[in-house]
This record gives sequence, structure tokens and C-alpha cells, in this order.
Amino acid sequence: MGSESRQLANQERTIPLRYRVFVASIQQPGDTPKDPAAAAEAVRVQRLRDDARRPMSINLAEGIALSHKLMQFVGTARPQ
Amino acid sequence: MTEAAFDQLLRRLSEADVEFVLIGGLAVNAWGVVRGTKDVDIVVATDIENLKRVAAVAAAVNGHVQSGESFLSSQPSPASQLAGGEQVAIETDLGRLGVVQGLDGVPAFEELRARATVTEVLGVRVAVCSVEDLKAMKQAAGRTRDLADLENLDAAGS
Repeated sequence: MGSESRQLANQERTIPLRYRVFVASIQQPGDTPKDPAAAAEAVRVQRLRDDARRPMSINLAEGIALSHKLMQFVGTARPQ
Repeated sequence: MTEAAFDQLLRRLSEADVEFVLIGGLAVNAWGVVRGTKDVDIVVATDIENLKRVAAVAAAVNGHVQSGESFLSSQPSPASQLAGGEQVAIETDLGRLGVVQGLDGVPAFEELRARATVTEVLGVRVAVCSVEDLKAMKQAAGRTRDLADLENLDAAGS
């Protein structure tokens, strides 16, 4: 290490921190749900919004596929 | 009914040149609230030729009219029910087809079609009612499921 580098290293040690780094949530404090039900509702709504942004054809195809699947389960819990 | 195939039902309607607008549960799906539904609900153009095409599609997939909770012993034909301007639930091999006519809160076909969005689903071009019409129909129907759909559509920002 040359003398300039040593000098710089010494300076770095003595220079006080100018910035404080911290991690902040991207959610605003008011938006942070406290209880699990509110958290689940926030997730549900976000998913609805995400789905609504998809092309109509995708949502329709998915709805049809889901309906077909669900119909396979109708009545399956009933005792034979 | 064998196994539901709503996409095939829509394809048959489309290939038969039936003029219709998709409403109900599938329209709710199209507008972003993905959920299961038991039938394909449509509003059709009420001219006699179009009703004949609907009846022909229904007949081709073994359609029979469901009346109330049970099937009647002498079942009315889909064609006669459709011609009578009634709401008809047609049980077919490809799933239940609900032809909605003359219901309070359901706009006429021409109005729905003018505001509809045409989309393609699994290779079939389908007119889906506008989200405003869908919400108005849900509001008018007012059942628990309809109100839940309404809330979800609003939450989705649709």
C-alpha cells in the first residue's frame, strides 16, 4: 500500500458517517395490516387487481378451466 | 350431461352464427374475477332465425330444458321455450346453457352488444358484456352470489 492509499484509509476511518442506512417497508404505516384477516384480505384484493389487469381472454380461459375442474368435485364428499 | 366443455359450447354457438353476448359467471371471469361457474349465460338476439340457430345448437348437443328443480315428464323443447321469450336453462352434453330473455335488469341484446368487448377464448371469438352492464345486472339480480361478484369486481378495479 502506498503512502496516498494509507492516508486515504486513515481518512476513511476518521470521517464520520454522513448517511444512515436503514431498511423501510414499502407499505405505508397506515396500510400495514395488524391482524391476519386484514392481511389476507389485502392479499386477496391485490390478486384480484392483478388478475383484472390480465387480458380478458386469459381470465376467461382460466375461469372455464376452473369451472370444469370444480364440477368434477361436485358431490364427491357425499357418502355413497 | 357428460363432462362440461364450455369452450366447445361457445365454439358451437359461434360456428352456428348465433348472435349472443356473454353475461353471468363467465363474464365475471372475463372481467378479472376468476371463479367457478356452473353454466354459460348468454343474451341472444331475439329474431326468430337467431332463436332457431340457438335451438339447433342445443339439439345438436342433446339439449333439454330444465324446468324448476326437477325435469318435467313432458319436457318442453328448447325451441318452443325460446320462442316464448322466456328465460331458458338448457342442459346439454357440454354443460348448462342459460339463455336469458325478458328479465328485469337485463338490457336488450342490441344494447348489450353495442357496449360489449369482443375477445378470443380458446380460438373462439366471443362478445362479453361491458363491465358496467355486468355490474348493473348483478345489482338488479341482488342474490348473495351477485353481490359478492359486485364487490369483487369493484375490488379488482374492473
